[in-house]
Amino acid sequence: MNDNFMYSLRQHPNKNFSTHLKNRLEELNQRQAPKPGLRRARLAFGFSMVLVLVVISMVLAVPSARAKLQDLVITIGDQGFLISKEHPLTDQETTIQPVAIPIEQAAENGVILPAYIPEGFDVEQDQYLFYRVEDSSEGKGDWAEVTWVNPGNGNIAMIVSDSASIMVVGTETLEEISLNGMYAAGLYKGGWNNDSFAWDPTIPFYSLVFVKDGKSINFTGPDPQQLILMAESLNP
Amino acid sequence: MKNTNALTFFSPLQKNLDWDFIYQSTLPNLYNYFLYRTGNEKIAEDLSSTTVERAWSNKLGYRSDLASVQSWVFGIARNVFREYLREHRRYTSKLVPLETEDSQTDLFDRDKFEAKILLKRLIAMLPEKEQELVALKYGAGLNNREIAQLLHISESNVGTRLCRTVESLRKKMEVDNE
Repeated sequence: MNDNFMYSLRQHPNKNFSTHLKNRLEELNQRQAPKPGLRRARLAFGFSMVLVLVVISMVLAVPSARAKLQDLVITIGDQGFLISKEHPLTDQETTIQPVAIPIEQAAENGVILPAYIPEGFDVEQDQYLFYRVEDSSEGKGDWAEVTWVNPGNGNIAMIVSDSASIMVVGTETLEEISLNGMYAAGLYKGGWNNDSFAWDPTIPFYSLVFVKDGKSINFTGPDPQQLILMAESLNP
Repeated sequence: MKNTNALTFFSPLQKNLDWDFIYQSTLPNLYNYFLYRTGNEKIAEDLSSTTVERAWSNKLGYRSDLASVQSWVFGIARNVFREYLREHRRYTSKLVPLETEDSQTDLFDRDKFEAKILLKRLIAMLPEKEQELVALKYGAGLNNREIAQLLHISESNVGTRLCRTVESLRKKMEVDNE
């Protein structure tokens, strides 16, 4: 295939532009280098603030239903999404009371926090919530939820689960995006209305769902760009 | 100008990466990726800056066992472009703006100049996925395998779609020249 003509649009970046950009990177280096404790300090500052709450839906599909509807399951990365018009809650639903754990203990419990937190957001009550599923084997199905609040600007939540579950979504506007070029993630807007049991695309929240290092991670918040930046800053 | 893709010198498992060298070798490819996507030099510069600064700030988070440097950088670039589209989609048209023609351009250069404008316009009229493939291949200089990993499709699918797209562009260019 002779495709030489396709390269004809290529050109070198303007020299002033690349020099200017290089200088900005040098400045970035200088700002980052002498402050090894900056990230911890920022988090510590964040932990000292107060908050509100967010609602998220993360649902395990019933295995039998999953088998029936397998052809409607879309897989993005290692995360499965079931596109459905039916509300995912079942009669066997049980309520799980979460345990509040100080956010400082998140890392030792395997809950990795994002290095990037949008300006003005703080961890709710300096703690995260841990949901233990009593009859799960080896802790599979347990999940943790961290919420960052910014009064007047909505909340951002992150749910981390040890086992990848299928997300039931009622929208076909599921978009696949790439995080740091390493992980595929699903992004969609809206959520289930638990009163009408219908999918509501007007709910002003986005969800970003992906599997990283064997953990299923779900970010929810009003601004998809913030969610992407937070997800990309999740470092082990 | 054909791409030399200096980043292929890096092994995915290399621990001590020379980020200055990565910057020098990545910037032209990044810039050209955005140039192929937007057809506008100024926007390409802005989006390249955003991508480079974001990658630079997060370089400690890069994991060489999961992705090559170029896959990582272009993953960020694609997100930056997606954000740009979200912000500007409703205001932009698919047409690429006309460049102003230099009156001093001789006949030979003018032919080349017009061919470039035509190619730019034809690329801008391609479906979104084909535009992305063309930008990653001819702008970013990635090979089919790297593109396949980035887009989560098979390498053969990349090759087939690119071949079909390039052929269709070539035919349209030839028709216009006749």
